[in-house]
Amino acid sequence: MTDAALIERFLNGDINAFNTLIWRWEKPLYNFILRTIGNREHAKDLCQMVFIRMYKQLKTLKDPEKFSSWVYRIALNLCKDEFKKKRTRRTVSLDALTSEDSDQNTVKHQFQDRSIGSPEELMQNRQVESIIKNALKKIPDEQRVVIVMKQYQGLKFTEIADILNEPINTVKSRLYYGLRAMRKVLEESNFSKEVLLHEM
Amino acid sequence: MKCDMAPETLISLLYDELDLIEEKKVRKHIECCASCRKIYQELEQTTTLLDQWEDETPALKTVFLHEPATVWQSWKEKIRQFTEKPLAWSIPVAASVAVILLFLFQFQLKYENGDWLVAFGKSGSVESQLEAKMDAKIESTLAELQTRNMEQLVTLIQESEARQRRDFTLALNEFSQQQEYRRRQDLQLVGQGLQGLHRQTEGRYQQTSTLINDLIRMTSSPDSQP
Repeated sequence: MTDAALIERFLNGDINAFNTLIWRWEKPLYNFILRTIGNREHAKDLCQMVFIRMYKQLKTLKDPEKFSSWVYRIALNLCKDEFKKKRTRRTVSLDALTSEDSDQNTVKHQFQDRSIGSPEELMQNRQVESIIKNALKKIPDEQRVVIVMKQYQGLKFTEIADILNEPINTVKSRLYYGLRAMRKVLEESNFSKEVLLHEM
Repeated sequence: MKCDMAPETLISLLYDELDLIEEKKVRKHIECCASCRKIYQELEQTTTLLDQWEDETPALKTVFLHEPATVWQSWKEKIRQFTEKPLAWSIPVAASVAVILLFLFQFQLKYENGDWLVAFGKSGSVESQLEAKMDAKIESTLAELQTRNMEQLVTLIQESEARQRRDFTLALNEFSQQQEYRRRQDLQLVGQGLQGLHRQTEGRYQQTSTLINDLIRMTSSPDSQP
């Protein structure tokens, strides 16, 4: 059953159709939020907030065929709110900044703290994920969002442009510079060349 | 980039969003252009590395339960569902508004003798319209009858005149014939009278002549002197 059909059933009072819809979208949305904000607990909370907003606002969705873009837009708006909160926390308190850094770890710290052996070990221990996550945090939000949408969510450029309400070329440009920035961050983290070449 | 290749094009190639012709062209360029090739390879390496971060299963176990709606909520929902279907509500609303307006303007509609009568307000009731219509109809019928009568009258007058003329002609002819006949009779009588007179005159003339002759004779003979 398509999303549009589930939405229609939900709007006709079938709550199970909505549960099916959120089970279907739970994983992609959670991963989108997680990669965008970089924190599992926050990602879970935000994911649930997305579902609550979906539940409340689904009746306002005019075209159910555009549900995907609509739900990503909700998730993105929540992520943007999270970015703002983070920035506030950073500007308000140096302690908070320190604690955040210590909680989340920078790429450099990870490399220093963890005994990194070969790249194979890194991958086995999911440390690559951690490094990527931290590298993603270091690039501008707008570039990270586009990378996540394209690289992980597999959205078309037109869909991303629709969600972000930006021209397609802007999306492509952000993706290009985002990937270049990612590479630079990874290289700076003493991680890149060996791992990258190994990955190839 | 040292060449003219736009970063957007490389990105489109990287994510396989170029059409076949364009893709062929760009791949050919990459083979020739070292700087583009380097950038493209770096982009590929980066994305391959990014792929190492696999999707996680959140296990949120979020379940939405059907919340029993309050009376207000259920009405609100019904109104929402109703208003979301423009055709569903626009027709009855438009009809209701029309009915209210018609009521306010004291609209009356009546079908009478094949005609629809429409009236607004107190002054223009259907009955008065009906009466007016009937009056108009009667007037038109009367006018039509009058016209017909006039036509028939004119025809009758014309026929009567024609008949009179015909009768007059006939009477005149008869009169003239009678006059002719009388004239002839008169002429005959006159003729007969004249003939009689002539005969009498002739007889008297002859008698006179005879007397005169006798007298002459008598006078001329001596024997006859007294």
